[in-house]
Amino acid sequence: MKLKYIIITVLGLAMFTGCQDFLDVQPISEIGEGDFYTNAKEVETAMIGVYDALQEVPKREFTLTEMRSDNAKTRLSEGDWGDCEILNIGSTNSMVLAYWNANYITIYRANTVLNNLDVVSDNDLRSQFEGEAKFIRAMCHYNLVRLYKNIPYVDRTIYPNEASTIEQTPEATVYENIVADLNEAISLLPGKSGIANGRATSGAAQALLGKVYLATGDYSSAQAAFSKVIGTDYALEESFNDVFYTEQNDEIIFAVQYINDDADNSEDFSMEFTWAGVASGVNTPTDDIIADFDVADSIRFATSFLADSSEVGKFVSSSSDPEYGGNDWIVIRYADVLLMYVEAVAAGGTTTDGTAVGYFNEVRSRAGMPAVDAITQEDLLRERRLELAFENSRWFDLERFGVAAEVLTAFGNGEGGFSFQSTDLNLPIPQREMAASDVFVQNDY
Amino acid sequence: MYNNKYLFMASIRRDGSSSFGEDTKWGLFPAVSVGWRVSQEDFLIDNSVISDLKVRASFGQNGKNAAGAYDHLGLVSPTSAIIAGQSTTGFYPSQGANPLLAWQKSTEINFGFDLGLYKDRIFASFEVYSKQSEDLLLNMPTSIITGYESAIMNIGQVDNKGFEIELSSFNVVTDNFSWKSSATFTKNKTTLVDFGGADSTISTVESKRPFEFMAIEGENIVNYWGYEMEKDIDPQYLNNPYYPIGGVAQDAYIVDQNGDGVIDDRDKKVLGSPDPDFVWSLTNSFTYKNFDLSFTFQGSHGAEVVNMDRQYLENLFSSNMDYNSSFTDADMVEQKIFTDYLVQDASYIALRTFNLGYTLPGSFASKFGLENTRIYIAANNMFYWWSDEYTSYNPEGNFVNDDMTPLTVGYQKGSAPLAKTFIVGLSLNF
Repeated sequence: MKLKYIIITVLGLAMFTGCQDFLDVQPISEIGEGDFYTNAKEVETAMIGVYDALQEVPKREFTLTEMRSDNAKTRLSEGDWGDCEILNIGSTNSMVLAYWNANYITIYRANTVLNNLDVVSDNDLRSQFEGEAKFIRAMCHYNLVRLYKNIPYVDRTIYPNEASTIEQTPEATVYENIVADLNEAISLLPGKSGIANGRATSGAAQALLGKVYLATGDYSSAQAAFSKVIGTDYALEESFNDVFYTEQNDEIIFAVQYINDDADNSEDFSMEFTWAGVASGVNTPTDDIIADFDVADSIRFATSFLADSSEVGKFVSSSSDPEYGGNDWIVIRYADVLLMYVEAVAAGGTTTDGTAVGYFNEVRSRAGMPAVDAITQEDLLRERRLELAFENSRWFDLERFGVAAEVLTAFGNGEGGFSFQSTDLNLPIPQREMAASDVFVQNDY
Repeated sequence: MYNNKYLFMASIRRDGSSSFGEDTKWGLFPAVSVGWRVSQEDFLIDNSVISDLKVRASFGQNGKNAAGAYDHLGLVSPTSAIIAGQSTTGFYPSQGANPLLAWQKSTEINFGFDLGLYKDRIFASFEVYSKQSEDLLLNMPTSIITGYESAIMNIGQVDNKGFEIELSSFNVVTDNFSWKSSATFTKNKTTLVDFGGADSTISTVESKRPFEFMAIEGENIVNYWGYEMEKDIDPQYLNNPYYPIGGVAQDAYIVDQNGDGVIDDRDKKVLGSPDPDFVWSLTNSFTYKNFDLSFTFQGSHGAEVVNMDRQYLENLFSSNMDYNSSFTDADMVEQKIFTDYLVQDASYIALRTFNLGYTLPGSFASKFGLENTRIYIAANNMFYWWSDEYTSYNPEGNFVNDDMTPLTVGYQKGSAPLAKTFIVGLSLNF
């Protein structure tokens, strides 16, 4: 064989077998995932990344909760905000997408932490990260399932190529998984004193577990969960106003934290609650809720509204730039837990149970309201409305008490100015998600 | 090559790229071509008319690399959150990993012939082609359950089918005068065959003016999507129909395509596409003694554009032109910028280049030590005709911003007007 052919053959073989390693590059100018999550410190920063994502969640929550309820309205009925107020929410409504996205991005980051726990050799630390990630994953799924009902439950990383084939999970299964995550979080997480304020605790997981049980109508499990929170690390603030304006107080069981005037770590709901907001006043108090406050309920009234009661008084920011508010968003607080305990005991009826009535009166007495001996469903619903006004609770309370249709029909025919239909209780799955999926089924909205 | 009659070539290449996943880095791309020079066969070799005839066919595959060096890798970026009232540094995954990311592949089959007549005085070339591009590397919207709103994915298949004809002829060749002509004609049809299971995908370019582009399986890749305008609102219902001068009402009645009495998304339809039906060019070159002249016409027919310039040129957004409170058909109208009002025929014929020159005689040039001296006038787009329907300034213009993708071709807003250039030149060769 001529030399020429030998050379060609050898070169040819070299080309087919040759160096492959030089193509397995790691980024130089950026940090590749392959190089990250190698030790406990890095997993911890990833956990902070989960709290970072969680900061997005409360920002538009009020549009899908308070504004759909009889608590709040907009001043100008403009655009997507206005559609929320009259329960005319289409699948392209930007609030529907923003809330969905914020929760799923947080879930994705929590799953990323859970995928990388192996490198954490310290057992306590590993338990803590796992508990935090599971608590937040459960909370976000709960946020989603209670509004959108038919959602995909995501407990692993989903790659783009398979995303369009992921189906929605039956609602009951989503709740089972949330309960399982929370139970694990309870056993994995330290109490309030064992971890920095603002991070997940076993108490927070316990309180949320009770709330989830209550939503599913499992009163006895709810009561058991709440009794493990009551009388432990938490207590009512003496002053109702301090609950909102002395941050990290004893009443806060879990809050999403923000600081003033920091583009990365501020919130804008404070601004939107006032007339300074981009749409000149959304989440504006309805006449209906203002009228619901007794004259005697002046303590809570003074905090819940600004002076002329035209704007929300909770979460008013002290930042210099109104767009960058620093008020922590309270996800769950002790007074809420006390009232939910009462609700679990009452189990859909009237209660005179001593412990329950005691907790109920504790909440009322802080507000300067007289004690009661028996609590009807109506009492409980109204107490929650007044105590938790503008804390995004009303919508779910109306649903849980089974009076949403009745209350919203009356409100719509009056001040609300819309005619209520039963499908208004459902939110659409965001159109963007419908288009990206081959298998999602749209809600009847 | 065998016997100067039969041509055969085969190649195979193996390409690797760091942009792709562990198991998908390497692509194997073969190519084969065959040709037959019929004119070299005994029965044609002495033919007085046919001087050249070659029949050829080819098959080839190749791969297209991704745009970024790390596209398949997950990346993390710094961020912060508030813990116990203090800003605390964290990291978050800023790009998702896609270990399956791989080469975009295209397979092309060609068939053609070249024909020379009268000692190649007339030359014709014809080619039909069919090109299939698969596993397109597209930045596609994905469900947020992936953690991201979009991802670069291998998705879908696009077919290009068409033919090209090229003709050239030496019409006159004498010592003092020559005239040569050449013409091309191309027809191409692009079809989106498969889009990864989705029947269609809507893209927009600007969030404030979200005119929709829809990619539809079995149709063009880019289809303008929106309402069909029925008629204008009667001026009596406008706030001020006479101001601003030249202003046009923002809204118009929409054709209720499905006849359900309501104007909504279901009344949208395909309004046009940026793909031309055919394009052509015609070039003529003359020389007479020391003068030379050549000019090229080009034409494109049947393409449409979305002319968002109308919004500005016609003041579509002026509140004076909004309907007033006595207007009762608010449910039957939509903004014109979401209708076929913006979709315009972008066909054109251009005198694309024009070149007239005079070369100084050699004796004159050599006096100055020059080899060759030519004075010329050149012009681009000296004449340009476009459709009467088109109301902006450049049917070939395209808007550019970060949201533009291959799925949003044909959008015009503030494009630079068509440039006409004239050049007077002198070229000296030493």
